[in-house]
Amino acid sequence: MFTKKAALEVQKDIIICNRCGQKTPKERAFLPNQQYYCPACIMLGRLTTQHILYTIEEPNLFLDISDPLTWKGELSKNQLRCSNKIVQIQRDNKDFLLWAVTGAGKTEILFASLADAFKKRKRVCIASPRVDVCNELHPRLKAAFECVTMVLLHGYQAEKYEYTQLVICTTHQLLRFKGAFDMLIIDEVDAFPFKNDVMLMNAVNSARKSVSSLIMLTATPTHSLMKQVRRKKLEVGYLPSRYHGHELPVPKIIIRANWMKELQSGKICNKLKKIINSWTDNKEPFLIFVSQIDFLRDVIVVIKKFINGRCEGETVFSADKERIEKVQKMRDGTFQYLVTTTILERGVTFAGLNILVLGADDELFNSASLVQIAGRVGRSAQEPDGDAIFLCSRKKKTVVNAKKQIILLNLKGRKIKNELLFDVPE
Amino acid sequence: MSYCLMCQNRINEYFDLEWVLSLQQLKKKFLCKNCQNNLVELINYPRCPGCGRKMNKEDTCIDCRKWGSEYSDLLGNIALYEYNELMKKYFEKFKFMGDYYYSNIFNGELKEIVQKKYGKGWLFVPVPLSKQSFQIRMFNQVEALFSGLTFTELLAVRNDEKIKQSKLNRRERLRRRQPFVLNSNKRVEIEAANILLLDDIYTTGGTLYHAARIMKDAGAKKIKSITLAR
Repeated sequence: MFTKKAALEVQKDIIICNRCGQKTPKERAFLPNQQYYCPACIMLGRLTTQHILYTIEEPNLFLDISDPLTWKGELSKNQLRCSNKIVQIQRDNKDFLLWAVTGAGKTEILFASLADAFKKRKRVCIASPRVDVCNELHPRLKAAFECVTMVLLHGYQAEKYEYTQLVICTTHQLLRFKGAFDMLIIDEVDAFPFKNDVMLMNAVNSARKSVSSLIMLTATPTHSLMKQVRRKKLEVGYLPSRYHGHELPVPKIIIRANWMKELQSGKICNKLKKIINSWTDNKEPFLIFVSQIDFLRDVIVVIKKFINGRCEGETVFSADKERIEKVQKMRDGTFQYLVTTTILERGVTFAGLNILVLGADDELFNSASLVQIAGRVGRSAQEPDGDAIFLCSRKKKTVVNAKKQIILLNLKGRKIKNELLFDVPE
Repeated sequence: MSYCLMCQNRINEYFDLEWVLSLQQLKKKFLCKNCQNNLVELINYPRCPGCGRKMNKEDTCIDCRKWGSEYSDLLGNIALYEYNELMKKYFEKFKFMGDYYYSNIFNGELKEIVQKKYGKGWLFVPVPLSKQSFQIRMFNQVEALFSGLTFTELLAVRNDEKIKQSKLNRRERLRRRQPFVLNSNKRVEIEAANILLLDDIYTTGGTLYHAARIMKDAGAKKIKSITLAR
């Protein structure tokens, strides 16, 4: 029934981990008692030469559910076409890239294929590099598939592992599975830490069954993914308009050579003052993005002073212990703004949001992350507009490109309003 | 090219004039400049002479005054760094996740200070680990941090000691009964010896004073301590 394997393979100069597949030089991996450990996947619990890994062949022991989808919403015409395509991909056990603009309604597009998979007793995993994305997906999927067993797995939560038909997890957690899933979905496939990470890419391949489907979702595909598409190695679906049909808000670039110095001396330029005033006066929520954790404190001090109690807000960053609570307060409306690092760049939705990026020309923001950040704006059908402001000290290619990309997407969206392309977009 | 063990960012090698003139080999760096700057080197601040913690001015802290009334001699603890967020993260990775390689980050500095401050005539005694903890971790973090020194293993954790120190709060730690026993075959070595206790973190001082008490009772002359963090 099960197979048994030593956790680590010890070779002459290196050790190879059978969980994560990484090779490590012996000098990085030795323990003083002549044993070795794998440092690459140590965050999942340390594996040493004394451990043995057991794997059980996936038995697909699930109940028959005749109609698993309890969600009663409706898809737009384009969403529906995409949805049908993915059902087919799932049935044929193929790989697929869904390139859909931010706010296209990617999750709902998946529902039909998930329902189809559950009906056939397939085991499904939805993984994302981002914890916040997982946390947001879990309640939505629970509401959409009330009778399907599911578990949420990531490093910040204490829910115990359970054998379920649907697993929602961070991409790191995939290392714990072997040949387990008939359908594997990766949301935000271009996000850190998944992007360019060999270990996590291996994890995807070993977590799925040899006959299975892989669906990758993104609003900003990487070059390497697009290369695979162009070489016809990967099928693609392209959805350039938002589910509510409104266009993506085009970001406004403000150049202010010494904004950083001004801010550090406690000043905000008039243009920004005006913008922030309009947000606070209209009671619109906003996010202020900074490139580094170190800036958070400087920025919040200046902003708090300027806002002067007109509304509440806080800072948030990846290792913040109250991260989840603060984001929740933002959702509840207790906070009207957050000063954040790039952790909130994707996967989060706040209705009627505005964003301001301080130092959009910083190395830490590339075009993809700027498109994602701008994509937080105007996601709800009730409030499809909003401001996206990029503050830079100089004109930079990444910033200009991000703006161009959004304009281009809007153009395409207009042109092919009634058509969905299953081919490479120009 | 190397990467910072704490933040995984690339480490830029920097060459300054001082290093060129020193004709020394380039030391392997484990931390980036940013993380290095986030460490608070206690030697640069006024400290409590009892426990080595950072003070506004050089003076014995309240906790050490209490220790002083219970034990006649203070340990004169030297701690390299303040126990701050980065140090907490460090111990998380090194001690609790068990990434043994992280001992390299501070091993050089710790060895150096021990050899500089306490030369011949001192026995280096690492604070021991319970059997259960050792079985899980597969190394003693104190011995790892100070590896390269010659240890005299005078202490052992009582067999029935089950509770992990890090799971207790300050009051519980202070009330704890003696957790250590002497290694019976080493009794002779303690008499009239100068003993330097080695530990990873000085928190309340409870562990080290328990160790000191048992040594004193067995006839040790002087007892001092060194820790990585305070």
